[in-house]
Amino acid sequence: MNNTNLLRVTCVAAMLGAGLVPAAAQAAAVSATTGIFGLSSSSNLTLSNDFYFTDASTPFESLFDAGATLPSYNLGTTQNGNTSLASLGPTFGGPEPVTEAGATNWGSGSSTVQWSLDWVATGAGKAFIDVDYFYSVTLQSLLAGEQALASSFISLLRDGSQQKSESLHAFSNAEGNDFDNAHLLLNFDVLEGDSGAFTITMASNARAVPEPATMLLMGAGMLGMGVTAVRRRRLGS
Amino acid sequence: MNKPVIAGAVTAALAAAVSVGAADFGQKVEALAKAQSLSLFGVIAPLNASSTSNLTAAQINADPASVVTVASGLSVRVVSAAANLGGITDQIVLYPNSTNPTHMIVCNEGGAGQVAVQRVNIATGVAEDIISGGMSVCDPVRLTPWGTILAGEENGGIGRLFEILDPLTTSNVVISGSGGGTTTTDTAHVRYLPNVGTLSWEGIALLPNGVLYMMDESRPGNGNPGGGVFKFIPSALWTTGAPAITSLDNSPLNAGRIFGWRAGRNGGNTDYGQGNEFGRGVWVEVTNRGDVGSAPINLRNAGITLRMTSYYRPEDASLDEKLLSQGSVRFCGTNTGQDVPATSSSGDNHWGEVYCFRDGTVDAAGLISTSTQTVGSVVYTINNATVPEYQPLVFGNLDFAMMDNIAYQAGKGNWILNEDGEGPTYSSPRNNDIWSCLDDGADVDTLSDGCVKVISLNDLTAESTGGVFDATGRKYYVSIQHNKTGHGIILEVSGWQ
Repeated sequence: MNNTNLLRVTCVAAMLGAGLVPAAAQAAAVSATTGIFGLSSSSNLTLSNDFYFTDASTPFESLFDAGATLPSYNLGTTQNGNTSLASLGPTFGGPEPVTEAGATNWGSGSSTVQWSLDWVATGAGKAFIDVDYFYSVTLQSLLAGEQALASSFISLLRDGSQQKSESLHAFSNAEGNDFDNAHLLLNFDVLEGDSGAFTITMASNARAVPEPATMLLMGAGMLGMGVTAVRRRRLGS
Repeated sequence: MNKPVIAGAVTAALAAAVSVGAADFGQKVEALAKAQSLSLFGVIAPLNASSTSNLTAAQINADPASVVTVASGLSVRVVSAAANLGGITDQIVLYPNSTNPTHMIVCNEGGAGQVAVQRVNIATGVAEDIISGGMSVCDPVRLTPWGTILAGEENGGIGRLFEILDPLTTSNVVISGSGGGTTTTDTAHVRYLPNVGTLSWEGIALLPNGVLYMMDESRPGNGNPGGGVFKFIPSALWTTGAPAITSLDNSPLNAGRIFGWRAGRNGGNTDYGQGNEFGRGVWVEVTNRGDVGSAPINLRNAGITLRMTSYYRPEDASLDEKLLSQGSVRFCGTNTGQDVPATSSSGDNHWGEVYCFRDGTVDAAGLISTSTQTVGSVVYTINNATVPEYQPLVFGNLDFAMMDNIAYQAGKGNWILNEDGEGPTYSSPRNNDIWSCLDDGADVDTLSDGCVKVISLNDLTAESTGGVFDATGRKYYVSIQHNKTGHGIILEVSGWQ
């Protein structure tokens, strides 16, 4: 084996180790979901004027929108074993949103919905809003030392300033699966005629994060490939 | 304000709640199954709905992989879309094994004038004929523990089972004759097996010792029962690990005894009959009455005569490999039922079901220990070696209808099910889908803990059939039969986590 071929083999081996060239071994698979099962309020509140800010992104595509209707996005690609998924839309045919993100290997995805509603008190006394939500995060098929991220987030604000509750789940370097169905319940006092806005923000993110050693290995491989190319050009000339 | 007062105030407000929209509990369970699809089903996200695409033949020929839409995380490779691949390719078996397969052996569900069994090179997609004619509606195909291939006819009560030796070198065999007079142009390599009986072959579960479970793909009609479940116990059981046979003379399926499933053990095994189809029962020998006949016995007729339990179109079956590795017998199969064609107001709304059948240990399943039961003037022979039990796993619905083929996914332990429903005829046509179902878990019921949609067709004329996994459970091979191209398409779906 001459020096050029030796260098080429070394570079490919380094990049295989870094995961740039598809190899037989499986690598991280990640998913995250946040959704709302239902929204209810006390009878002395009326809700109206739904408005949505939405965003879904993968390394290949991105969609953003703002309006009174919740759009449905479904961005997904699977190439060479790398999956990137970002989707959002209504659940169960109703107005309640769900966000999803997923990735394998070098993929990544994120989706976000910010749902705002106006409220008006029709009577004085105790009032509440109850968000019945669910979330799930999963990391699996991690190689030794590999890191990945899956997170699901939801928060409820009243009038933009009072953050009553939020939920965040994330993993980094260990396989796991967690899910829950819970409520964000916000109680407050109102007088007849009071008004304001609720804002529900939900987001799902998924990404396989190369470990530092892998990045160094990949960098060495790419550097080596560059050197090889230069040597080949010189030899060719 | 103390805590009890707060609780009272909240309760009062909740009682007056106004709901903007709310999922019921069943919808929540479905949503949670989807949200956890990566850990439960091995896909990043399942499909939310069936595809409504209806590609043209030209579009499919240009990219045969486009004939399906798959769940996020799955990838599709075309194994074969050869022009000579049977257009009705059905069940598939990997050869020489599911660990390092080089070929697949496939049935083509055509008439006697069409190719019936082919081998397909997994690497190149080249298809070659093994049985080129004379079989009617080849549907099931299995690899035996002794190295041969079984291929059966889905052909009413007279369907035959054939055995093939050396499937990689046996070519262009033609079947002729019928019933006991059946012969082949290469009897050294393809032979009819008359002693297992005749029925409409589709569901087969073959144990390592050669015990053969056989399901009759028959629908009820005019008061007659549907298809039954039968069991063949070889006279000479196969010994696990013995070298493959080199002559079909040595097949364990050449001689043995046949039994039929009859649900009901209560009252001294007397509460059998219409209305009792689940739970425990007995194996009743098929050949103990003169009106049942002699080999080849028409098992459909025998089942009616012997008051066997029946179901609505029992189709494919697959062994629970995890339990099998522990020495226990459990296979799960499909009863396809009848959906509601939009073109007819007389559909059944019987969307099919998936059942699982237990029969003790592998060793016990091969034993025969009989007693007799006399009912009126009729004497039945009962095999008491095992206590067989039938339990439902999945009940179909409008969105998950008429499940036909079934595959066990090693590793996950899930069941992959192929719809063969009437979705394409609905007023809003949808394609048939492939579902992944969890097995029953630790909860108290016997039913699947959840199902999600993982693959949907993009051809309203097509049907997915014959799905089978490799030994890792990470590669799924499936046929897209009677698609618009006129030739078969076999796909490899990978990426299962």
